Amino acid sequence: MAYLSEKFSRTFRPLGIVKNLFKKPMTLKFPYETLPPLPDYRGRHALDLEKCAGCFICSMICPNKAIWPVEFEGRKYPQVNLGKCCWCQLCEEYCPNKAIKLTPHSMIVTMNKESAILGIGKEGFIPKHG
Amino acid sequence: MSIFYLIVFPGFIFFFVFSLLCEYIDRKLTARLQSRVGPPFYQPWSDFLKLISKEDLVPGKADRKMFTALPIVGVAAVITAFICIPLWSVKSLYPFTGDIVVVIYLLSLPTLILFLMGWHSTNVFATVGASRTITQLFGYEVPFLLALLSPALITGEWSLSSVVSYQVDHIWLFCYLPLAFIVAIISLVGKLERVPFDAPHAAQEIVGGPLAEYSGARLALIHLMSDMELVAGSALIAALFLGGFDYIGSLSGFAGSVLGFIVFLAKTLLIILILSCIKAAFARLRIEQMVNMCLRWLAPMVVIQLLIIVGLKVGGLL
Amino acid sequence: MDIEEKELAFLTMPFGPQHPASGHFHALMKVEGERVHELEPHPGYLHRGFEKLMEYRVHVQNCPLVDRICILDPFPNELGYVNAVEKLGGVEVPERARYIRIIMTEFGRILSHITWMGVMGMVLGFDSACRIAWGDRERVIRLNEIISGGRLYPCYFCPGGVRRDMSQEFIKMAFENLDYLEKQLDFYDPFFFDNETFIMRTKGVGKLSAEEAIDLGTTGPNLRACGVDYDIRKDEPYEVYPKVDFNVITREEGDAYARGMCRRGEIAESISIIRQLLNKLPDGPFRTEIGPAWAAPEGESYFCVEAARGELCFHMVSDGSPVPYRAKVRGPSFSHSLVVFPYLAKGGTIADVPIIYWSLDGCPADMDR
Repeated sequence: MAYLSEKFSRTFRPLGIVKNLFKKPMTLKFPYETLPPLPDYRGRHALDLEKCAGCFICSMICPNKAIWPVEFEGRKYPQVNLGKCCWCQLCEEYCPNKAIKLTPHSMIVTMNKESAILGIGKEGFIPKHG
Repeated sequence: MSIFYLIVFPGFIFFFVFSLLCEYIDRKLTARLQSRVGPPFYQPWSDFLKLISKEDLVPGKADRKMFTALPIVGVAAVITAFICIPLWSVKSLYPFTGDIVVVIYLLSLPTLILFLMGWHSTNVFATVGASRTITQLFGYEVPFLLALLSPALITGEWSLSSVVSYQVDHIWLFCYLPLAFIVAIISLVGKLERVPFDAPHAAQEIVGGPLAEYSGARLALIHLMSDMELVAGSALIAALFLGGFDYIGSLSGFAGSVLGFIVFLAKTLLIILILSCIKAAFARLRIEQMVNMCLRWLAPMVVIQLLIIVGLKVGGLL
Repeated sequence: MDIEEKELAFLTMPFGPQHPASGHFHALMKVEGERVHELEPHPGYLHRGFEKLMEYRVHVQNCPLVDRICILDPFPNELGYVNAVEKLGGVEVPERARYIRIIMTEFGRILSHITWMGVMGMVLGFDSACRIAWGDRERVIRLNEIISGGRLYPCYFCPGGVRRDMSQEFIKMAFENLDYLEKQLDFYDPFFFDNETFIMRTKGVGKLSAEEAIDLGTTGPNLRACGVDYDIRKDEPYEVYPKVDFNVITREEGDAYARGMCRRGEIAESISIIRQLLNKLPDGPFRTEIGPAWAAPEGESYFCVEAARGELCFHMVSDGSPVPYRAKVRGPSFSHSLVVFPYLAKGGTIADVPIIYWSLDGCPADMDR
């Protein structure tokens, strides 16, 4: 008898999932609603051209060798290849002037491999073509 | 006029639209039970259109004519089964004595067609899936048949119209036949190959089962066949146990028929809701556990129900 | 052509790398009807060459790399590597950093076990368990994001401490999420672990006795489900484990159901460990700087960690230069997937093969490295 009642409860208690109909769902309708990104999130890089000293410690410490020098307005600045970057933040940690930073911007989608290399413009990094 | 009935109104076009709508309701309800938002209402149509526009490949050693013919025969069988069910009045469109048996036979054709699909695919996964489909047929077919024939035992005639007219005059039959109602719903889950009885096309163990080699328009027709089977099976149970188009109170004439039709669709949706709740709460059973469970629990339940009915009839109470 | 007559009766079915149920693990099964006669694993699909890659990078640069060895459970990898390097070089680690490391490792264990519940549900055809469990995973991943900025690959530990401090906002959110997870365990008990179909599918499947388990090299919850009481956190404790109070969950039967219940018990124990540690968290520095060009003295070190899957060990050899001479990782899934799994799958049905594989919780990334 105890065996039958145990089997009965094991078969019917899972149907209590019907309670989920009255709660708010866990998912969001993605492109129209998103979770706000946190300020510490490791996303796309940003370079402050005034503070950068051109020492290239970031290039030496990068584990995947994703940072290389590029010429801009007579000086050399670092250029990041986002395709190789592993988002580890070691470049920001070891930069002596805190010139290169990782911003929370994380929606990086492109159809064009060229635009994954962040080129240098007047405000710091800009993507190459759309 | 009969061309209109066959193609537009309760025939092909209405049934196509309604079965995709029922697939949307099934998916949305399952999603809400799992605390997700779920797909938008146009999802089944976009899936159908996407599949039609994709490339259709047939494996080299497989039989091309059988590959093309099987989904078409399946869809045709299920539409024919739906037309024979009385939708808005006591008589269906083409009533005749013995149409319960014809509807049950037409609804078991999709299982045979799945088996043939798996067999002709010449793929390892498809062969295993096909043999599981036929093994599962041994489990649920006997309880399903007996459970659906018990209303016929009460009325004394083997036709759907007589069962529905009995329910209009007296009480809805699920009050007299609760065990048969439960057995019919559980066997319907096995026939439609839904969780917990979907071992034949278990996607996670044997990648798709009999459907592994299908793609493109043929796969679209197979999914359409599954959806239509869902609606036709639920409509059959609603007609036999829940009173068909009968509702409390009465209106006559054209307005009465329209209201009866809407009530019938509502009863079909109720059975689909029960099936969705069962799908969300359980895991998949192994094939031998499924056959074991059916022959050990469902068949005795329905035999007891039949004995009770025979006893009541002999005693003169029914 | 010489074909043996007996061979023709068997179908060869791949439990292949491109498969909805096998992760990325490649095996070939010889099947007759529904019985499996033999299962032959083919490792190497996910081999990325970590041990060789680590020989070209400085110790600080190796930290993001070590994260990616086992994707489902990143923290024990980092913990093992960082402790092995510190043991080599005799680096002092502040007390606050040790507490923070164990708190995050236990969160990683909860994350891995919830992922296991979801994948087990998916393989059983139990779609609802999969979706609801993976929704709960988001709570722990959000905590990863707050403390380190990365969701699945936190890269948070480094030789000498941790990279960022633990803020008050994190502590508040950690307590909220721990309460939520405890309530969810009360939901999962009647719905998933006590479900008639789950019990029917997993009881008696893949039975392993204690002697066989020790012979074949099983570790972790798989070993404890056979009745052997061995947990590295209690028997050879490291970091702050001597200061916390917790039970080791063992069961007697040794089948897939027992392994599942061991994991469920470990989630509850981890929640209690984290609560104890958060209440006693000391103040102080969180890192001792060692610089990128730090070289370990010559020598070897070997360090074992209790990961969610079993025993994870790091063997570091240094010859006095900033890059390691040799780094060897002992992954827990190596013996589970390549030795125990074919042994248990023989003689079962096709439907049991994914159940046995996932109840052993083998991570193919861990096996191939």
